[in-house]
Amino acid sequence: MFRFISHKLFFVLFAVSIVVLFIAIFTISSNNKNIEKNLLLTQKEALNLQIINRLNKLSLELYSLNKQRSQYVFLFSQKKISQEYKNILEILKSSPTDEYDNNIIDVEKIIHELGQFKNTMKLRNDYLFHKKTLLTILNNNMALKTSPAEVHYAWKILKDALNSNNLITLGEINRTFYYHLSTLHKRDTFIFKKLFNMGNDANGSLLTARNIIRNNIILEGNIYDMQYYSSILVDDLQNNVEAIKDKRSQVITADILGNTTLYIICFIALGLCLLLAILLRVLMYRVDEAHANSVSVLSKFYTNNKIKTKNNLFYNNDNFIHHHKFITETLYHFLLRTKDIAIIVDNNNWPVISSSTFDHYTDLSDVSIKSNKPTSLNKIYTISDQKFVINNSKDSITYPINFIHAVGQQNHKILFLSPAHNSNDAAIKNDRLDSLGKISGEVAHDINNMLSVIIGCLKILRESKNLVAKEDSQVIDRALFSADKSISIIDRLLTFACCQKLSPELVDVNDLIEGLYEVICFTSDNDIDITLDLSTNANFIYIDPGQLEACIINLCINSMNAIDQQGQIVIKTSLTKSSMNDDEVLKISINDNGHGIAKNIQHRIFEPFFTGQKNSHGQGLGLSMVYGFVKQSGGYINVDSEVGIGTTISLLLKLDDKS
Amino acid sequence: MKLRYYWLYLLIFFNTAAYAEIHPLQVICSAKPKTCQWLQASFVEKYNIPTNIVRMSSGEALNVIEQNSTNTDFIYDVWWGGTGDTHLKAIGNGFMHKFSPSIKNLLGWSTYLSDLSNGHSVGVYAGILGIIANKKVLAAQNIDLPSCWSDLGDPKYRGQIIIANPATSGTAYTFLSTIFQIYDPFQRLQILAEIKENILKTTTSGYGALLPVANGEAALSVAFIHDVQSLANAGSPLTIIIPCEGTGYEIGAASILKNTQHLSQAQQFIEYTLLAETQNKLTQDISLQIFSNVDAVMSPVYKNQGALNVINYNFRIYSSERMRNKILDTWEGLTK
Repeated sequence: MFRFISHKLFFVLFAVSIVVLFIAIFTISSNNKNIEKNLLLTQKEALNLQIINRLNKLSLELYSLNKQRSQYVFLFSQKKISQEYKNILEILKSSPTDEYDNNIIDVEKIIHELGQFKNTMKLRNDYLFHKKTLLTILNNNMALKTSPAEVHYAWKILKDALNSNNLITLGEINRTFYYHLSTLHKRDTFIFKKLFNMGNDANGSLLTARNIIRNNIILEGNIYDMQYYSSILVDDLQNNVEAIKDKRSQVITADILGNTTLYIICFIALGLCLLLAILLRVLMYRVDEAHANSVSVLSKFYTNNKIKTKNNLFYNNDNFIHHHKFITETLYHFLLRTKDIAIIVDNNNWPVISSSTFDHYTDLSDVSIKSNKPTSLNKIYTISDQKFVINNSKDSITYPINFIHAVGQQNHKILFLSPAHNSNDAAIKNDRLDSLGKISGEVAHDINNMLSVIIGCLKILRESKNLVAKEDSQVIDRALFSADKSISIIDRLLTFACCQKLSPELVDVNDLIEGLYEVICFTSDNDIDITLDLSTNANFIYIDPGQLEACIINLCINSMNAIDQQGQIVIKTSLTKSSMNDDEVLKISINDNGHGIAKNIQHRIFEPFFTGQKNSHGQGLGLSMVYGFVKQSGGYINVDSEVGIGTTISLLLKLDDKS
Repeated sequence: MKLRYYWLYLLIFFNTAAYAEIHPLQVICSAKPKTCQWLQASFVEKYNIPTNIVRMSSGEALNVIEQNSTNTDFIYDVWWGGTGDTHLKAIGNGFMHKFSPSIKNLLGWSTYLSDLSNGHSVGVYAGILGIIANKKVLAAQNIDLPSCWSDLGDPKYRGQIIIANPATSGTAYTFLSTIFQIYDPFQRLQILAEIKENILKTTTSGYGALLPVANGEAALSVAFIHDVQSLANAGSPLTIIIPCEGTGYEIGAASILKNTQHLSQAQQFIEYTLLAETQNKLTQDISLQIFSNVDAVMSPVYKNQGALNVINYNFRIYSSERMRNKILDTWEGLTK
């Protein structure tokens, strides 16, 4: 292969060097003033076209700039765009003439506008962060606290307010909220007290939503301004290019007339060059083909991978002694790269030679070294459906086959296999949960659809003109309250079944937990001491931040419920090695010194509706939700609990590659 | 000693009264004629301040104010109603007086307009734009109702659209800027060109385009939904369509002209229209818009529309002189 490429490279270089030589001769020989002028104009035109090109690309990048939700990704893009505009500014400023002076002002305006955009973006991100916290508080209040339907309805209005995306909708929600509040004040002092406490959240929610919408408008305005200045710049440069083209066409006409002979010589030389290259290429192809046919597959492997090393990873026998070098050097390196398992089998599929990784799974090493036929005949080896299967009396091991190739003269085959699937491995332990997930996911999905219809009908009924009596409205409000609660249960079930639509983004987990601290303290009793033990470095993972927050809150609430009177909860983040593949993973652990979980129920804690508390107020869906979410996000959970001492639940999540 | 000047006080009082008699508060009203009339009558009844109200469309009012910017005899004091972007343009040119209403419980979009105008204007009402169709005319020709803005460019609606001139009508300008905000530069040119092809005639004001459609002269128009409700209720075959792409909205503004001779009365007039009791009357019986006081009731028109599909309309950009000229030039440049 190398030889083939080197031939190709040689011919290309040869052809290019001849062309360059001719162009050089052409340039040196043409001392015509017209040509010099032409070159200058070409250079200028190329410069203008290059800037136009860059500006057009930047214009597209600007469109996507205010869509960036993650501040880190945004800052990266903003820096890149800003730098690019600064580069363009440098190019324009380096012009010896003053023809770009107006353009320089436009670029400076864009750079200034980018700075404004950055400030607004930071402000909007602060509000978005605040919004997330408020939504978590609202969701908590709606899901976990028992409150009258009227108060629940008020929470819901605030939640809608936070999610509104234009000022008109927000205004009408605002009006509805205060109207709802005014109707309740007169009737019930208990509800009034509840709503009075809600005051801060209400103001916070309405103001936050308004500021997010207003900042979005400002950001769009910034983008528009930048694109406007950019379009003026592009128009100016485009006009320049047109003017240059006109001048150049006059110059070129004179040029062509003066140098026709030189051009003809150049084209003939170029043609000869290409012809020669094609002829040589055809000749070499034939040589390669003949060479390829003359060597065996094994020697081809060997000749193309000349890597010298010593290793003992392959077992061989006499039949393969002449291939020793191939096995110990070439194949070894090939396997190092692919991380596959290799095995050479005879025409009856008996393993003859295998890599040690394969033996690790099958105990084959003591068999294959000594003879062609394995002594332990209780194993049966079969190849079917791109799988290599080893059956013994107890269980079966299946290796997916990546690649098969015939080797040697005795119908031997070399198989490249992926690591085995054992029917008795750890996956079987999760079967129960997976089945539960599948069933509950399907049921939850159907119930969700039906509930949506019920809620829709109730809302139509509530807004109906025929509904006059306040008592009727209250009945519908109660029904809506119950339906909303059911939706929240179904949502958790869907999360358990890994059916939730996630919106992952780049998240610094330490930042997220620090932001949650206030919320967790808000939901806990005063006797519980909550401590954060976060790693010193920022840990970025690609995950749905809303769901991760809900998980951490759920785990903290479980810990709080496990603590009888006084206690401590520690939320810790650290980097650790994955037990599965040695990759570095982020570990978020929530440790409490509560009553612990009994050994006999530890395997059931993730099942939906299972709860270890006798007088539980919850639905037993918290841990199921956590399990489903972590699984869907590609992570796993460890539970370490001892009765009387406490519980530590750890979420192990994959770190983002870029971080 | 002070008694000696009583005659002077009396003279000043009678002179002021006489001045007010000769020069009543002059208001340009860019809302529906019925709204303007009711405002004049109720304001005079409540405060006994002589007031004269003249009805003009938003674009007309802007042109009149711009043309008379240096005219010292220009008599108008208040510009009430009409789309916020036209007010912002007049404010941008320095034709308006700064003021701060004493009523504070206003909704976010109302104060947003105050902030945008740097305290020169306030949002009084909001209205949502929609497609208005005469079902009877379309049914007679066996044509379906449109459901999106882009449908208006379909050749089957050739000669079926009556729309106002965007240079004189805030409704038509809001329609164009909505299309500008929804579609990218290439798509919007194509859609607007196709729509212009289908136009039968243009009128001066947005409200003026509705009557011929109600009378069956053409099948389609664009209007603020609350303007249509009264016509739709009167048994006409008009129907309202909220376009599938989302729709724009207006913020009806109120501003005081820079050369006003009645600053306190002008402010009093605007504050009167911001009161919850005034707005309740307007929203329930007269003009049916969404009003800005948080204590005012919800408009019956928009209450029944459910969650309206509204875009995040950018008043900051679309009220700028630069953008207004660009939009009007684009529309003018399209061949019919």
